[in-house]
Amino acid sequence: METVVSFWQLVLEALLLEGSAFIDIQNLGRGSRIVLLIVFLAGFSEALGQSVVLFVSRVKPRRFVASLLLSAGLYAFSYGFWAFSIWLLDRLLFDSAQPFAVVARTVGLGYAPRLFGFLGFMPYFGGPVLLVLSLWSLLAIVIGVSISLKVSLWQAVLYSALGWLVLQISLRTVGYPLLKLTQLLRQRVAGVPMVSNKQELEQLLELSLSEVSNNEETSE
Amino acid sequence: MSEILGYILSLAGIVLFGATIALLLSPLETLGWWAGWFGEHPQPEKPLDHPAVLNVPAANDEIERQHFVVFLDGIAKATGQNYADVQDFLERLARQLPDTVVLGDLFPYAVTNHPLTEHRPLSRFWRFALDLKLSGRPTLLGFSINIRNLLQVAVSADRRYGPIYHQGEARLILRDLLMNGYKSGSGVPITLIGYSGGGQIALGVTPYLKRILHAPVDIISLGGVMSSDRGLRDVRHLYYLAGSKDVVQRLGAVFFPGRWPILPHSSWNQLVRQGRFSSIPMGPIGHNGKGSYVDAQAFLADGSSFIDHTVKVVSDIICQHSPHLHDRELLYITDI
Repeated sequence: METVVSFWQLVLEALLLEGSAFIDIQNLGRGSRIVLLIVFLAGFSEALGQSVVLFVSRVKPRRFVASLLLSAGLYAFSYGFWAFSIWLLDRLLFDSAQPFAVVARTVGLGYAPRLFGFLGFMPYFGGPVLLVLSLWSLLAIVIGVSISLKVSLWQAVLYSALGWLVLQISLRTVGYPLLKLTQLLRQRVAGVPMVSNKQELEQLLELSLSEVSNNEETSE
Repeated sequence: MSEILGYILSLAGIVLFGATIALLLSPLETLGWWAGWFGEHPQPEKPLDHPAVLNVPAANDEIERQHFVVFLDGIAKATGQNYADVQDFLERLARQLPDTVVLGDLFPYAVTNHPLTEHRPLSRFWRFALDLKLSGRPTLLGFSINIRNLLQVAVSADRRYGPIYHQGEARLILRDLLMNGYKSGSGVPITLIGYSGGGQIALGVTPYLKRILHAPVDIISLGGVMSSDRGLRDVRHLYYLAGSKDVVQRLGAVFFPGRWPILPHSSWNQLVRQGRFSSIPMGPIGHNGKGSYVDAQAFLADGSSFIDHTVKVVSDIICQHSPHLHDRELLYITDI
């Protein structure tokens, strides 16, 4: 019960960008669990908001849920990498001795706004909503990093940006096989070939329509 | 005072919550249909003599039809059946253009073409709402049909969902055209008349119809609420009919950034620049209900009824694209 109260209280404080949330999360016994739950739920919610790709690829309902769970897991994984990058930068560039858990809890709590990622599913307004949530989350992370690592806001911006850059570069270089593996995993869980870009979708749609046209003309 | 404010805020919260839920659920019908989640939906069988399918050539009729018109009604529509004023408009148009097939039997706000009133979990509710609407009393329940369909227009205007929605609608229109005598590859022009939200649907289906049927496609917007959809690139010409008392048609220019002049490379602004857009002022006509484009009881200063004026403008445009049909004086059209 205590965890539930702490969870919602912390989420609410993080949403309001209150600095005290990032101090409280460090002192909470189950802080790491709460943060992991936030990140996993945020991942699931965001995957739901962007699930159009699963519908387009005609993924069946059970596999649809499994794909969302997989996305949430991978999302948590990428969060871990980002937190690790920030921690590493802090250690290497500024010779800091902050434990990894401090950075991990801070960044994780900053993911709170992304719990509303499912709103991305709304037609027309979904895209802008996702953008706002990303910026909101980034702001929360910057404030959190600034407080937890006791650095200025601009330094926190630099940490977050560099951390993100390191993550992206790693994924495209040493992490490339990992990226390929996740793609393979997604495909395996979905159980159908995934439509990966707009061109493929257009081709699929037109092919399907041509079949309708041919069928109608043959039946005449 | 603070009590009233609290009441208003609570009400706004409930409305916002309801709108969010409705928005979240709105793409499900289209996406679920495409993904095959709801099983194979057989097309609802339409009677051969559907009242909204007009001027269709008989099987032994040798005369080739010169033009095909598909009417996509506004967001008040709940089934394949038209409201009396719209049906009247279609019949007058068909009489004016005897060599043109006029198809007005589609329900443009469901990719399955299933009416709201049948084979749906909420069909009883929609039947009740439609009854209220038909009784002529303006009620929120009756208006819920408009809200439900408006959300489908949002699905159509969404860049992620739009292609699937439009493919589904194009599939219905394609079937309707072919079943009623259209020959693919014949080059016979197709005109889509989009009333209100139907204008947005017309934009979306155009690329598919053009490519599959190899046909020129024009759009006549009747108070249409339209985005800067990519489908505009495939429209041969867009005729934008707007009454001076029609406030709704102005919403598109406000809510869809692609129509703002600050984005010169948007599909809409390119259409205007390329001279494929004509704005036609319709006089003091409103969007719907009394005083609308299809009102037979309201009259212009010259004595012609609103409905006849609309029929004349629309038929003149269609004749312009089918010179064989009628040789008559065309209305003056303002290019902007």
